Amino acid sequence: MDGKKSKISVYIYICIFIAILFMGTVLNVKNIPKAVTGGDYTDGFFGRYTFVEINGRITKKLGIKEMNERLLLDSGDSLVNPMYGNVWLFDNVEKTVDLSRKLSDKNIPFLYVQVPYEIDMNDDEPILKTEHSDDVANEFLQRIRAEGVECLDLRAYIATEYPDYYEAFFRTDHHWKSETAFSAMGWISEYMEDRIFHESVPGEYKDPASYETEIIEDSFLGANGRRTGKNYAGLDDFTVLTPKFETSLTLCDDNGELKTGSFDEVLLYREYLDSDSLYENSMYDVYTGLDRDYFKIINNEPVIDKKIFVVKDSFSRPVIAFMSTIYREIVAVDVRYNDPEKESLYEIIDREDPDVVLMMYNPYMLGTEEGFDFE
Amino acid sequence: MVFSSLVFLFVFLSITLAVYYLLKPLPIVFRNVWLLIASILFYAYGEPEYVFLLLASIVINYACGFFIERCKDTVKAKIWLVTAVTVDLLILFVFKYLNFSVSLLGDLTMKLFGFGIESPGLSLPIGISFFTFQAISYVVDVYRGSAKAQKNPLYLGLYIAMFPQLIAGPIVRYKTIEEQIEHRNVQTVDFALGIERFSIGFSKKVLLANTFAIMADKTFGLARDGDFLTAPLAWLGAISYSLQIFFDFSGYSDMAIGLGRMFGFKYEENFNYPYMSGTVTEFWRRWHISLGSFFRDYVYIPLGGSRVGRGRLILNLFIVWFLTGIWHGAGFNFMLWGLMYFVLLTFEKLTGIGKGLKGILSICYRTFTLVAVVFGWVLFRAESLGTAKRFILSMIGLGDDFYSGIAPWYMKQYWLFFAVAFILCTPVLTFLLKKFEHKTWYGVVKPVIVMAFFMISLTYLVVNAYNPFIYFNF
Repeated sequence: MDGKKSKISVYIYICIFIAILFMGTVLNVKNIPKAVTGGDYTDGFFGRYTFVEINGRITKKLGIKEMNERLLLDSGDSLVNPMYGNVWLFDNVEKTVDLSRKLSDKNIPFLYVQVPYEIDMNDDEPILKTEHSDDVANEFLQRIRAEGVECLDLRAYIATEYPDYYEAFFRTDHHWKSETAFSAMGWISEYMEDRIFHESVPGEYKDPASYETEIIEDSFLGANGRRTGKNYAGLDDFTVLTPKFETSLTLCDDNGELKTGSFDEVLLYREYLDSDSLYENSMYDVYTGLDRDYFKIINNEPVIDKKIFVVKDSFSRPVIAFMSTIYREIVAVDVRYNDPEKESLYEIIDREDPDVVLMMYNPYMLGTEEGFDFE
Repeated sequence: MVFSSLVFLFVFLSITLAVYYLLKPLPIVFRNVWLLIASILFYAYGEPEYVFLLLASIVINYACGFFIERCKDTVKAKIWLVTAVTVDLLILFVFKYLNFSVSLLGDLTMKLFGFGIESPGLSLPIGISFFTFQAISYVVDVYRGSAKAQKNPLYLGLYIAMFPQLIAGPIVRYKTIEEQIEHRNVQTVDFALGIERFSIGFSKKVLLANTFAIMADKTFGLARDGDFLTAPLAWLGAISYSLQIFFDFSGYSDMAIGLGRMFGFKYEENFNYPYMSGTVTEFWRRWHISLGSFFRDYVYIPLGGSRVGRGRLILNLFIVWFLTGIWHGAGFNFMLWGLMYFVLLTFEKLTGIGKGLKGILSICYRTFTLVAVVFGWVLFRAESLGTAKRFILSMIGLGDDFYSGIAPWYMKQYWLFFAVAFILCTPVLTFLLKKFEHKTWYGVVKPVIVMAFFMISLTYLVVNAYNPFIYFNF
């Protein structure tokens, strides 16, 4: 760097660099305590989602199909979270079998419901040859079935009902759509009618025509999409299903009754439908709100006088909401958030004394320890 | 704390630079003390429990350096030198190799006597290999009389703990910056050159190294899990890792050199287009130059270098390359990697191959060198010998099915990154840019492009994109 030209270079370098450092520091002063205490400094970084969107646009322009550990599939433009690595825990098989046996001793039926994953096992995207969500679920089911645990594999229903597998799921979120969750409620209810309760649920409760359909178009950026921005992932439509028939429900948590009213009043958390909070909120949380350790829905005018206990993950929330219109009580426990020191899953089951226990897990849960912390 | 992070840029660097230049009107001692405080905080951010180890290393080497000089040319000086080097190596052994040694011993006692020995489970203090080697170079240089003992312990602390080179090198010799510690003056042009170098290194790390890391980690993960790894995919993974480690390491060195320059320090170069090497010997003259020259000056030459008999030469080479291997990590794969270079370099030394090769033979040997280096990186990267074996078998076509479609799938997406990386592995761009240096527009366009890449790199950090730190073994 010499002469007049070098002076220009020197000033350009210094001006731009100092400007970036100065603005980046000043605009994020509030995050410094987080940085000092080892918190996530990036979370809350000024203009974070503008950066995310710029990055998403560049990545998409370059034709790159992976961004921030998410994979953009050709099939339906779905953005998915592949389960690379054949991860599952043998302990989890034992714990599930144990749970089933202990319930059997108390004459409480147990049903393991295999929730599908967001990736179609028949997808011919090359990289998915190393994706193992279905292998994990197959292995787990095979082992617990061999030990006499009753299982309902919803993947088979999805394969039959959805010729385009990805239609069952949001494009930008790992969860199934409201409509799919509603179908799942129907499949589970029918299975219980036939195999456990031997009592029929009137068809209207499982018929989508009995529900109002409210479609909010191009409004939902799912959990996968929030990692890449909408420029990369696009947006989903979101459907809210509300019963046309009369409902009277009561929602309770650990502290007692929260609210009583109709399905809409009690189970729909409409604040999550605000499309202006694209990056902060997930519309998927509209049904029963965020994941929590325990909640109970009491149907004050039940169709079937049974108490269902659900060991759940996030896929179960809309299913439970729809199910609550039928059964007397639904108790939902998310073991990941439950403190077993306070009250273990077994203790909660003893206290609630349900007519059936359902365990509904998606394949990702089968490789986690926290999802099986029962005692 | 790593350089390629928002916390480093917008908390640590901005505050350190601001305070440093606010202190400019005052004597240099104030700036040096501030740099030392900042460097200790930098280290403490990631390794608070090991700050005292770093400080102890500074105090011990300061004291030994002081006594070495005081007892110059006497036996006592040698005793102080041996004491310092022993303590430095002991610290390195305890924190870097004790777990590995105890677990080996445990395996042995289990086989022989039926009981194992529990590993102490010590975590590896980050950068310990770098700061320990810097400390050794200081006491040895003082002993040899090629540097004077530092009178001010804070200044020695600054040399050993100076944050730009603390966690990923380069290994800076004391004599290189001895003068600069007390007498340096940062011109505006130095500061700008520092920014340019830092930004280039930052972009190399974030845009190139991290991208290649995706493919490298994927393929080595497949080998580790016994998953589907075909020959094309294994080659893609091996080449990706070769590019990842080059752009990561040379990027870190660029950032260190650039940061040093911003504070008035001029460090030596650490990389010089290593993948252009015609022989393995040349590769090690161009790759991690500060480490190669450390082993040459402090191990190989004191052992007699190459001016010894054939048997002794082989032994010297074996010692140097065994040490080079385990310096990179406590594991059999690092030993094997070091020994691979021992074999190749001994072969080159004894046959003199490579020196007089011309035409097609030269191209063939250059290709062989590059392929050997790539295979070496497989040994280096694999988490176990089993993984390395599986990976290498796949590379030579003895693994799974030959074709899975995954390698072309990656190439289709990342071809541009490969093209840019291959160009940057050669001096072509530097050569072309030199032709434009005299043009008026060049003074504007170059900094604008460099800073544009820096800003694009920033978006990757805000996204929280994949950003592995690969020096945890050092």
